[in-house]
Amino acid sequence: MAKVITITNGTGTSDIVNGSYNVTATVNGYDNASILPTSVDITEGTNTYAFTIGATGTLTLHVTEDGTSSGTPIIGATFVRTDATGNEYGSTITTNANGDAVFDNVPYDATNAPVIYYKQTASDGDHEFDNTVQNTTLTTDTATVEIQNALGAQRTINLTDANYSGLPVESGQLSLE
Amino acid sequence: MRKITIKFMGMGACPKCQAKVTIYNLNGQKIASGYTKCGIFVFCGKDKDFYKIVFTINGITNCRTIYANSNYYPIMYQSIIFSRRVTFLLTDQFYANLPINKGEMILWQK
Repeated sequence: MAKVITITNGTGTSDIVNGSYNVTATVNGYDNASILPTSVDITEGTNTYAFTIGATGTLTLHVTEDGTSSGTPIIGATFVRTDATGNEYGSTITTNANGDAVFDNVPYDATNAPVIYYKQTASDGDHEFDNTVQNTTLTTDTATVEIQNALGAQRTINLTDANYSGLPVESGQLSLE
Repeated sequence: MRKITIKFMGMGACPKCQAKVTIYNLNGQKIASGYTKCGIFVFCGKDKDFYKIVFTINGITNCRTIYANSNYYPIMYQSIIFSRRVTFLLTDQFYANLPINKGEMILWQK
């Protein structure tokens, strides 16, 4: 006898008899054969059972100064996967010398792909970036998203004497961290 | 009037199990309600009348209809006693705790 559990936002509930079960999954965009564990013992006293499932797609984030495939690459920009509300999951990825950062093992599907959320958490220190949650879907197993990190606006920093109003400090250094 | 005993079979083996029971007549009027004691619920009903017994065990509600021409009615439901509400969590294998938005899991009893 088979028991179907509908999963919504990571959770499903069911009335089920104690016993041993084999487990299969149907999740759009994911590798259904990767479900773990593949069997479970439902026993008295345990009311929550956790499973995982994996995907095989690759999402490349290509970061450049002008947001095009031929733009000046930004090295050291960081990103992390999130959910729709911005909660972070998994490790941070960082753009390489080509401006590429890669999320491996993301879901894809030709017609009904799950939404992938992510956000940028840093640029290289000289460029502006959008830190809001972004999203995309993959209809094939690999995809590239072009992202712009524009050059930071030029700003003027003034340093004057604290006790002689307006008197410029002739030379020195300021560090902004 | 007849004193009618409903015996929920299997509950004696599970002393902590208890059913919430409500009895209705054919007009939908509530005749009696309460909880079983040691798997037994007793109520008074008219002889040779039909009664609907609605019972809830472990959050699962079921019902039976009886014809009151006897003082004793066993109700068999062994599988209900041992089925219970269980939660299943499904997350991404490579992004720890990232919930899977939508899908299905199927459990096949061995």
